[in-house]
Amino acid sequence: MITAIGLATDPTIQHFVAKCETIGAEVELVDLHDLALADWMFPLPGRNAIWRYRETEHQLSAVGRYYVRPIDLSSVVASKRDAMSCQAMVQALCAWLETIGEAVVINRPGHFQDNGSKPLHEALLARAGFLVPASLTSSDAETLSAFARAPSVVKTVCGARADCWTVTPNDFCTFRAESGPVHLQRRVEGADVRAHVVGDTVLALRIDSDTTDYRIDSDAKYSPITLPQALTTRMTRTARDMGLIFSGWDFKIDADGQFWLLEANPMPGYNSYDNQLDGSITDALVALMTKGQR
Amino acid sequence: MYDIPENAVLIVSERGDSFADALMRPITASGRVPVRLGATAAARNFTIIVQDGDAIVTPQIPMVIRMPRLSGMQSADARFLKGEALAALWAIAALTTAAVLGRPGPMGFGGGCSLSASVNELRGGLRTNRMEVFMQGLTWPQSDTGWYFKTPDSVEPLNHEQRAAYPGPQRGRYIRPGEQYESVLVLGPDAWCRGGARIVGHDLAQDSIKLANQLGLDMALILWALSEDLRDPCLARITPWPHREDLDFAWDPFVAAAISHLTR
Repeated sequence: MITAIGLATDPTIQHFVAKCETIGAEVELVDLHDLALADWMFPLPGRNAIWRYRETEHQLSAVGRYYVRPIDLSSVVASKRDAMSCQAMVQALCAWLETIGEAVVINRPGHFQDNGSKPLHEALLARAGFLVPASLTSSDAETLSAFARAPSVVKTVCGARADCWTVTPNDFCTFRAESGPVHLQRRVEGADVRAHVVGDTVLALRIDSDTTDYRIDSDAKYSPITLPQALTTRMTRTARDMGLIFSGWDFKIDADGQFWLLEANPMPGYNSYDNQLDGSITDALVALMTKGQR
Repeated sequence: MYDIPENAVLIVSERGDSFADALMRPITASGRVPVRLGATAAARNFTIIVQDGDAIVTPQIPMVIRMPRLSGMQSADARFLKGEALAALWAIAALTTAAVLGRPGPMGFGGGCSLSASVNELRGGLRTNRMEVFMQGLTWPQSDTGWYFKTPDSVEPLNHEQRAAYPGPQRGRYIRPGEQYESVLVLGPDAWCRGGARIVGHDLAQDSIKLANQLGLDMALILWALSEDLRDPCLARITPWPHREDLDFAWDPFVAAAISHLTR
């Protein structure tokens, strides 16, 4: 049995559960929203957890198989008490998942979090040997404007999901430090590549699009691609070093065929890419979680 | 933006931080200018360039990083801007080649330090055989004996009646009867013990330095629980951001080492 833990409204969790059912893998969904407002107990280390919702008691096994997308709802719930429950539940769940050493957990909490700070993330990926486009993080209008003289895109510093836009020096004419800091990255012309690392398996798609951010281009063309062996070896090794079994990697391929790494996502929303790859990402996840069982 | 002098030591902290207050005078006495800013204002004073595998942070200013908070009471826009500033400050403090006290790593501010004692033991390479429980809406165990319980917002531990009446989340840990405690303050390769009791088979100062290092902390106050006969130390609590009033036992040597580190 695989247990998927996440928000029932999350398209990625919905996709995972549906695909598991399609391929005949036994799966149950634990909705974080229900769990936050339920009675629960997470005993550490390495014991079964229990939760009771609407008079029904459920167990989470300390030797189970878990696909987890822990999302803290505390900033969007109405009452302070519910916010505290949401935050405490996610903290408790993550602590419990980290200590159940005999379970398979994708991804086990305790992995690197630097994706939440883009300049740090890019610096660490560059130190791991990847080609990473130059970037600038600043609140100084003149410095930002100077960087934007060469083709650049703007992204959130914290990695929050937002569309990616091209910027020019003019965009900073009226910029004030109070709006900063801003993260700019040198734009790399070429096709996008989205790769998913599942253990030692790498599943990649090439994406051709005329827009800066292919995610908002309904005409984008997706095709499976095999990445160079040296690159996949570096990706799987780095993912392991970061504590990640499952990760989503975004690259650009320049005119010389070089792969420029934009980011490695520790909780990839992989559903749309999986559809392009006939479900092979879910297949790989399920295979990893049920190794020795099926 | 704030015009930070070249010979400054930047203290990034919120108002009312007794540790930050207490550092101002020794920094001044060392000939440096203490500049105290909140996380957002501090982050806006720096620029980070990542290029050709290198990260350059300017200006190069030694800094002390205290626990940053992302308040839940602000508007969504204000929370976003604060989140952006905290993400930048994380990178600034992690990547700068200037001295930092409270340097974050890939796990974030506070290094690999978790709210869970069991997780801290696991990450720190310690034994994890002492039960800890997180729960909500349940009362377990049925008596007070041998357990220490707190809620996320309680300062003092809860007794059994308080626990039974409290509907929200709680965290508890088993404690041995007659347990004794020892505090150890760690700063890089140095450590100071409060009581200095001799523990059979352990050097708590060295154990604490190793634990802080395993958790990616350059500074920490570690509370060890000892059996009644001062044996068998277990991790009770670890904080990367101790209050000044908890450091009386080692303040003078600690602050001398901290200033030396920051003004190296």
